[in-house]
Amino acid sequence: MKNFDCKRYWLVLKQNVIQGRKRFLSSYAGVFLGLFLTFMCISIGTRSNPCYNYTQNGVALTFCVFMLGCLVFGSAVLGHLDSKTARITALMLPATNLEKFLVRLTLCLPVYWVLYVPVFLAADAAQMLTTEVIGGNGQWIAPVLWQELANFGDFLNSSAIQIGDRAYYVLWSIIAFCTLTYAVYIFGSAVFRKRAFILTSVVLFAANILSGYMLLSIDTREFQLKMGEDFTGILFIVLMFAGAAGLVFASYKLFCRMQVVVPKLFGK
Amino acid sequence: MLSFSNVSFTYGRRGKEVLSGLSLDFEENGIYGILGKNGTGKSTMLYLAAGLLRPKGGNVTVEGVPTQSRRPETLRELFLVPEEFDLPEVSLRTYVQLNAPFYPTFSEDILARCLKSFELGDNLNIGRLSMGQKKKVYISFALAAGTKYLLMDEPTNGLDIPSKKVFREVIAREMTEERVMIISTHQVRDVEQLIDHVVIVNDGTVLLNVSTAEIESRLRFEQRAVGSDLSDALFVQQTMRGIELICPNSGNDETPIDLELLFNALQTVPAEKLMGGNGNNK
Repeated sequence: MKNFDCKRYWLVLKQNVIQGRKRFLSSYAGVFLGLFLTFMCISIGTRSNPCYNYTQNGVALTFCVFMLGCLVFGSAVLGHLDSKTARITALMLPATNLEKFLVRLTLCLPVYWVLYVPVFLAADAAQMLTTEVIGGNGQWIAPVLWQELANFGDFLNSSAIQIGDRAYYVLWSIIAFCTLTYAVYIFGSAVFRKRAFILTSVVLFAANILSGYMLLSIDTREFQLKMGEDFTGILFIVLMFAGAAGLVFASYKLFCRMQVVVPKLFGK
Repeated sequence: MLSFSNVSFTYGRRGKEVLSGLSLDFEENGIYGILGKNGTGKSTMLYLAAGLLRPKGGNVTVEGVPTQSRRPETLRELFLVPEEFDLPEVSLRTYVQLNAPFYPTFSEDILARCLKSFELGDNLNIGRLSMGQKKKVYISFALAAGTKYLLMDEPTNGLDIPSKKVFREVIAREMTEERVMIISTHQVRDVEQLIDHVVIVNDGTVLLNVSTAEIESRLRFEQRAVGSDLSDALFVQQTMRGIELICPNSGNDETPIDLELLFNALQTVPAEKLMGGNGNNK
């Protein structure tokens, strides 16, 4: 038996997008609103301060909203299965569990990354238009963002970062950490389904406090001296990526084992 | 064949056992009626058959494949019309375009025929219909999907009286020799003309599992006046219209089955006594 059929995958994707378009559109309306209101807040709030670097801060906030959106969308991977009737519809569809899961991952991850661009552009245009009408510190953020991305690309391609440089490990650590956090929210959507974002955030907050306390109690200097800083850094990065992969796989397995009636703790 | 083999099921870890050691086969060319009181596991049986629940013990299989694996090859042969369901806010055309490709045996002709019988056009926004209309659309789609196993949980809930009659006509018309229909209901009057096999469940076990032909050949369902001789009665029930009773069928003529009376009889009379030792035959 084939576990993945491209044609069926596209059928499931099409079905999810068209039948769920209301939820889909309202999610992106939420992203647009989040961006627009953020821009307007700093535009109006810094109106009396002409020295305020609006565009740089706008770029930073764009990334912040993007990251927050990643987590919210991550916690929505299996969030559509928050009712018995929705579970019946999804589970009875003649497609493999892998195809159904990958469709949800596709819609909540790469599709979000791609659609964030036009949503951001629309929010940027809306904040400029609104600033023109009501006044404020607003300026076009998109060109500055594009420039920042180009600069970052040049930085990555340059000889400024070499394997062995601290900056190299910091960069990969950040990527690994973001991937792991993303995976935690995907796992949260499999466990909680209802109010997954809030519940996962609470659990993650508690876990971070606990793990921070535990790490402080452990003296890793001896390990680092013995194994070398490079190795420790690489180990840490690999563990985070492995953890992320494990959590996504665990989410898939939970989905495969999902039943139409769930324990009352996690939903109706 | 859809087969339950020694199936047990409990909701939650400490919940009451809903099904206990249940073994049952559903074979081709049969409309099975699963009857029982509220909470006796009728819907649970359908969800287990559809792979939406995993049995705690035993196996539920379709053509030898466990339904809980939810393989597309199995799901293509199964269609469940649940008691409650969601339909998206799209046109019927769009819904068919999106969902029909998953069922290789889908028939537009059957869909059109069923919609016509239910007096529904094909130019509908299915998300904005009333519950009864949604049910008719869903049942029409289910029949048009052409799956071998069609499971229906309280299908007549939400249908008005004329629509219940149409439902019976549509089901009878679209039934084929290869098909198995399993209807779980407590509205016995809505389906007693349709079903040709009766399964009555109580307390997680099967009280009765016989064909309607078997029932008709062994039992008579009669109404007698008050004061009549009831010495041959296996079960008696007083009603506004007089006395309804079940007695053995010793003659050649058969009476229509009164499923409600039979169900009530089984609450107090063991199936073996009622059916003369053939309470659980296919």
